[in-house]
Parts: sequence; C-alpha cells; structure tokens
Amino acid sequence: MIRMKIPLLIRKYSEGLKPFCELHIRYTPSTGRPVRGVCHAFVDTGSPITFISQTDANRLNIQPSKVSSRTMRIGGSPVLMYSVKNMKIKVMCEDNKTIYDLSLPTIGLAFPIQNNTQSIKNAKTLPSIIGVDMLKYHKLALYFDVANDISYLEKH
Amino acid sequence: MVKSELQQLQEIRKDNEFLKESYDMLRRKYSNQYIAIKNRNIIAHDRDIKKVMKLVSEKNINPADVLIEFLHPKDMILIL
Repeated sequence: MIRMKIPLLIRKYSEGLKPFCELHIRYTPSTGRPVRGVCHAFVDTGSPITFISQTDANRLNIQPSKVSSRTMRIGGSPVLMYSVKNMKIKVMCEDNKTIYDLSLPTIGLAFPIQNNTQSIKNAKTLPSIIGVDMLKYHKLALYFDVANDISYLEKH
Repeated sequence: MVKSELQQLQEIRKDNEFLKESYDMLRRKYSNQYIAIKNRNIIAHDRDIKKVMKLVSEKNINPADVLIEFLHPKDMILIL
C-alpha cells in the first residue's frame, strides 16, 4: 500500500533544527474580502493546537475575532489565542504536484497581550505552528530523522 | 496573473530551501531583523515588521506571497 507523504524541510530556527512545512492559506472572513497567500509553519508535537503567528496573520491580512480568545503560554510568553473558522490550508505532497487539504474546523491566531511588554516582544517573533490537533485530525504520523536530514508527515 | 496554489507552494518551498542553505550567513548579516525572501533573494529587511511589509508592497509584491522570517541573534535559544 502506498502511503501519502508530505515532505518537511529540516532547518534552523533560532538555534534549533525544526521540521518546516509550506502552507497555502485561503481564508474567507465573515465580513470583508477573502484572502489567500502562503506561509511556513513548523511541526511541533509540543503544541496541542495549530496556529498562525501574528506576523503571518498580519501579512495575510487575517484579523482575529475580538469576541473570543484564551490566554496561552508559548515559549514562556503569554499570548491571546483567537479561533478562526473557514480557513483552508493546503500543502504539497512528495511528488511536488499533488495538493492535499489539511484544513481544520478551527485554527488559532496567536496575538500578544497588549499591555504586556514581554508578550508583545515575543509574539512578534513566533513562527506559525502545526500542532498535534492537525496530526490527529488528519491521521498523520511525523517522521523526523534529524541526523539524516529527512522529515515528512505520512498519512495513515 | 493569479498563480495557482501549487505554483505558490513550489515557490515558497524554494525560498524555504534558500533560507535553510543560507541561514547562518543571513543571521550574521541581518541578526535581530525580519527578512523577506522572494525567488531566493532578500527583497527587504528591517527590525520593524510593518516596515518590511511596506518595503515589499513598494516593490509591487503582495506580502502574502513572500516568506518572512525573524532572525534571532546567535546567542538566543528559543524553546517552544
């Protein structure tokens, strides 16, 4: 049986080597114009949720809903995590020709707490992250062979 | 011309590979700054992300189509 693979790129982020995935984002807000664009996110099994960083959200012109958020700590710094729906996330498969839909019912948007200097400073430099929720929802296994520079997500 | 999803993903993949190959050199040059990469070139850099997006837009490039990365200083280890 052939299993679908989504290739990841192992590269430096800060001082660590992390598996990155390129994402195509298409988002239709409840009001305003639809947006589309690309970003890269690293696969982090330490994160329970998948989220788009503030930098990527601003770049893609994705605005968080002001009504619902919760506080989370990322990299030791508190952030406000908003949820958005209607976001389509697509990735490229191993053959570099096939597109696979990795959308989730909701995706997080990590924004800083406005009156917290540390939060503002750190949130700006955070990357977007693919969390365990996406791996579980799409039944994906993570292969991460850092010694041989090979990493991918494999569909069960 | 509106590029297909596949074309956009192929392009950002190449830029991600460029970042991988050049990370140490880029960090020496642009430490503590945001860099914008398009077609394996640095098209803008600054400490302020808003300025980087403005510089990208001034080149008639949509910031949504470029790879933007913050380059942490060498001595900073970020554990997420």
